[in-house]
Amino acid sequence: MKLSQIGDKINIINNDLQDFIRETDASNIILCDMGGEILTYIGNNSPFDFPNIAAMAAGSYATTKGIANLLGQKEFSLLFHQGSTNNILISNVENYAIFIIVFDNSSVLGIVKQKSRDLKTKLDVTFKDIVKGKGIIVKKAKIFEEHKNIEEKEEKSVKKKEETRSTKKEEENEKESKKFDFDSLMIDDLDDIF
Amino acid sequence: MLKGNKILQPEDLKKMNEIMYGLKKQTKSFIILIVDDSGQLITSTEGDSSVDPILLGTLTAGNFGATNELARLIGESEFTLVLHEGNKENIHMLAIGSFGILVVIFGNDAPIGLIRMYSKKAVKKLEPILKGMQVQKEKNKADLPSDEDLDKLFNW
Amino acid sequence: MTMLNFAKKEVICKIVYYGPGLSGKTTNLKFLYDKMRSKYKGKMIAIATETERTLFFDFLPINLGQIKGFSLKYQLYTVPGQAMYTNSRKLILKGSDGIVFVADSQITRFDENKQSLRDMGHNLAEQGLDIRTIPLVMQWNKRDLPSIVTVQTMEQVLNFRKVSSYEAVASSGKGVFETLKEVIRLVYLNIKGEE
Ligand SMILES: Nc1nc2c(ncn2[C@@H]2O[C@H](COP(=O)(O)OP(=O)(O)OP(=O)(O)O)[C@@H](O)[C@H]2O)c(=O)[nH]1
Ligand SMILES: [Mg+2]
Repeated sequence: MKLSQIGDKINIINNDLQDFIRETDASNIILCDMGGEILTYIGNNSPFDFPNIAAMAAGSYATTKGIANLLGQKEFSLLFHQGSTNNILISNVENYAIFIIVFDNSSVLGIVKQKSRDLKTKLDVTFKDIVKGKGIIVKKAKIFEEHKNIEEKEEKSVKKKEETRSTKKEEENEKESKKFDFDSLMIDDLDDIF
Repeated sequence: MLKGNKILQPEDLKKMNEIMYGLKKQTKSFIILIVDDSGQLITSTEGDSSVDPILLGTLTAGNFGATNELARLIGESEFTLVLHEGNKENIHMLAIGSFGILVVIFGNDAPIGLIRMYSKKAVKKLEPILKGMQVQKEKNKADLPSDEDLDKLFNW
Repeated sequence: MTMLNFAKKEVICKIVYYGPGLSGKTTNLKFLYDKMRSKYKGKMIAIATETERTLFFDFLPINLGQIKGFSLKYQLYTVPGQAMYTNSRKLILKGSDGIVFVADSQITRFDENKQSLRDMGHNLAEQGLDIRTIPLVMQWNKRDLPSIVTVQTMEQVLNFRKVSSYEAVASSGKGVFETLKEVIRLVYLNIKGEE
């Protein structure tokens, strides 16, 4: 979700974030898009570098999402990092946005977690509203892509065709021979080096 | 002879595997990985399972790097506990000195306190082994180009 | 960070594709992934935004086969070129053994190449690596586009070490494989000790 798409709904979002800060005593909350671009932030004046925090949080979220995919799990709903005085909690709102909460030990972890779940629900409603109202299509962030093994697919189709038409085989072979071949790389180019 | 910055000897791997499988048993966790600081998988309990340990290692190392950077950005030297909560699985990550990362993936019924305690103990044992793998020390900061050196180098 | 794994008989090296945003780093990796025979490549990861810009990194492991009884493995990474991801670029460079600098040949993008190159020198130093000595290959990409800087100027201004350079059209694959071969060669020469 981009800021330009949110429009004046940003006021509703800001109110929700403000409520969250009041209820949890967290020092800051940052809302950014899936790429780490800041949409809005609320909290006390702190010396933290919000743009960089948002960019790193997006990377952190994307990699955990990738890990979740590998493990066959939908996602990790909550990322929690505990430091000696400051802590960070990162959560996503579907594919719309990510929020990052910075809080110190004067906040109660259980409350921060609970309220962040509530906030997630509220933001989700707002974002769905925006999408519906404007007919925006939110493309899924391509967070983790395991490219399909094109070659294997081709090899399979070669076999199929072999059974029916043998003339196709030559075409496929030609296609295959156009592919880079590391065997020739090893022998012709790198042999003297290796 | 080939040269490397890190050398992994079979006996070191054996020691690490023992620690790793010991931890897996103690904590009843699903998967454990040991990854080096540049993202290379050193060893994992996933010898031949369906989860690709190389990809998992790369992603966890990337995630850990991002997390440490986040810590720095909010004025922490490092996060003592990194936890990713999911519906079925959770991830706990711990730095092994400055040499690598211990990654523990465990289920929702496992007691987190226990996992933290045993992981910490495992890291203590792993650190000297990972340290011993190091061949080349980092370059002397003084030998690296400063910003002024770079200005001169490019001379635009 | 070259790792010599005597237990598994492997040598693993890390190569990073660096360069300004949209210069074609991801396109290089995608092309390699699509055209390489299966036995040489592992699975590729692309961590990207919905607009296909790299958000953290791309990753492609390749396996070049046996050498001196070891299997020689390279892990290819790309950095995100957009300015906002400066910290991520620094992270990805950690422990790299070789660099491919992918420059955008378009006249309008020329200054961004310079900025990116300098940024790379700085980020490498932060990781204890030296831009003056690390194995490096230059790629002049997007040579198919109309308003481009001459190769001569690219060489003069960007190729500060006079390393090997290749003209490329990554989207069609021209120069991609040649670039990879050269960086593989350079990194290999670096890890090959005295007999
Ligand atoms: N005409 C032309 N287009 C190219 C060439 N190489 C890449 N492109 C296109 O340029 C765009 C950006 O390419 P990417 O590979 O995503 O660029 P990148 O360097 O990875 O960009 P970041 O991830 O933002 O750092 C894509 O639309 C490519 O198809 C080329 O040689 N010629
Ligand atoms: Mg890219």
